[in-house]
Amino acid sequence: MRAFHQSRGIESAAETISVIVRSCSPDRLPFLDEALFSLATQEWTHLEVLVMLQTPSEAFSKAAQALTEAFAWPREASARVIAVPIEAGADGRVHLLNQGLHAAKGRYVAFLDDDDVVYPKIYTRLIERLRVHEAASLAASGCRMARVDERGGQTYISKKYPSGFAHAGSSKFDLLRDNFIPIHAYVVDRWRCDPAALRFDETSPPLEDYEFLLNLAADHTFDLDLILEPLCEYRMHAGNSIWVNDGDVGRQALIPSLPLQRARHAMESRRLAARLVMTYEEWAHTLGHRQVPTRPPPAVPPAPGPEASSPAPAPDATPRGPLEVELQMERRLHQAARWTYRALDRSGPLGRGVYRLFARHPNRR
Amino acid sequence: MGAAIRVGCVRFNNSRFELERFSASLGVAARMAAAKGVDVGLIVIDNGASSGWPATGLDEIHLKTEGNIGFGAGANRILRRAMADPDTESVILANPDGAFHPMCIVRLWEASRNSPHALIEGRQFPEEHPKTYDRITGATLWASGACLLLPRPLIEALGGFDERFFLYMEDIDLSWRARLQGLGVRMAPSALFMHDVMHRPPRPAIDRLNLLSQRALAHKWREPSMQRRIEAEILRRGFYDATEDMPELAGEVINDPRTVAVTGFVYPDHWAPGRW
Repeated sequence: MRAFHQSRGIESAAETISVIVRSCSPDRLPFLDEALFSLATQEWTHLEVLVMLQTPSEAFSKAAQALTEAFAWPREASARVIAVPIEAGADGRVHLLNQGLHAAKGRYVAFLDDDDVVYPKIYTRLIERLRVHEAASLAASGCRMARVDERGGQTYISKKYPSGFAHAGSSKFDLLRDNFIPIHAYVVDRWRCDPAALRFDETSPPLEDYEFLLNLAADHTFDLDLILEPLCEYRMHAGNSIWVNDGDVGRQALIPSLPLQRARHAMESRRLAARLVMTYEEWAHTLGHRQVPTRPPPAVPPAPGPEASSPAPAPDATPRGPLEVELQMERRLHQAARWTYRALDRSGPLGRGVYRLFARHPNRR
Repeated sequence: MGAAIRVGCVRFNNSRFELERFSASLGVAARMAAAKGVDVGLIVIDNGASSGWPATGLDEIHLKTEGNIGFGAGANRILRRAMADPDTESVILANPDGAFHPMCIVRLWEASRNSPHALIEGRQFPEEHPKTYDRITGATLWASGACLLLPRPLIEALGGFDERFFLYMEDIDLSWRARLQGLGVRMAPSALFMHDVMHRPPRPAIDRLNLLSQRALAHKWREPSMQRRIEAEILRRGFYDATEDMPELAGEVINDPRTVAVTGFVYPDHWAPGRW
């Protein structure tokens, strides 16, 4: 994988993170302004910012160019606008991502929609996680949700929700239930990825990011240690392509748009057939043991996830062996596997031995 | 001719990275203001031992360091120096660990032209303060000193910050005094200033200073029940063993029946109604 990227002249960009920002309409320039400001003030300064515009008019192109060049980018950073011609009437958002991936030069890659923002430390923290966790190809953080009202061109944040998507999941396995990792909440290390996996399916908007994560999760290790720590913000507003105002004025709620509802329905069969490879470490993390088996477990276990049928087991004071177990599990076996794991886990060394007999041996990455 | 706007910065042990980011962003924002015919200069005072100052390309004045005299006292030195120049129309105080949006100074200046006697706060980004503000007028109960425009008439009317507040609460006190005198306090939501206040490690020494300032605020504005609550919290945190050991509360106390209409003691979380 590394050789593939070296052949494209990326060796010199080992410290660089390429951030792909997509924008499809000049109406969203005020949002794009804030998205770029959040990138220009990042603590991680080795940035390559790629602003991908869908079939822009000359005016849109000039305005986006002026906006991008206005910021005081760090010395080590670069920012450029790339116009992507897309067939009239087509939804080119996914194509913009793939074109951005093709143009990106950095070892690390991240994405940012033009109406969201990232907090100043996000790339520093996530790249640090990837450096510490050498098996991980992707590191993700938590994400806060904000409700944005727009009137007369002014942005007004009416509400921020502290926990964001944490209710929807916190482990790789939870991806089989729903996507809880927004597209701008993770960083991918391209040197640790199969190049074929680094592509978005252009037939599945608006859930192309979910499809991308499921594909990547099938064969790559994720680091989700920061999943409960919000390092970015998902902004919901009526102009968002997947949320619309509830017709009930009194509720003032945002509900999934029809395209989003249709896409979720289409994803259902995909989700049921999804296969994940998880390391023993990721299994432990899923069940609340947040440290690798070779290290002593934490003194106080975290609260169990929403699907837990019983409280998380008390941490085992005895350090486990170094064995990593990779499991291939279909979703319908998910719950049974969790119960089995816990039962064997509680039965001590004999249970763990029986468990290992039935688990595939690791194919270390 | 002197600068119409002076940006004032109180430094304290800031890193080179922070100062470079601040300076670069100030340079860009000042150029945008100059394009609108507004000259911008800079006044700096160092309360600590910050790394060298990167050049901004602006007319800079570096005040003599007097040690760590606190934010309010440092800011007052800046305000006095700025007001000594008759050309200065307003001062923008800005935290050196932040960064200006390119249009920040322009938008603060435009907001000030609409409300020439008001304190104008730049909206902190990406994590703004949750206090409410009027969506049409920008009116709010208090303005944060992280990015704050003070026009000359207001500085002359209020005389600057109350230096009994070493760190924290001086901006809230200034805002309440402004409102008591019928002067406005406004948010300029389109004037963005990056200020990262999230994910900070625990800082007991700073928390202690914050609570002591809150105590002084409650004493000054005659809120004895709030003062007792804060003192209980100080004792609970172990910063002092007894109330008698806490610093003496001295200085002017405000005796004005209108204080209940301008203060925000009923909102102890944010000192104003909060949106979240």
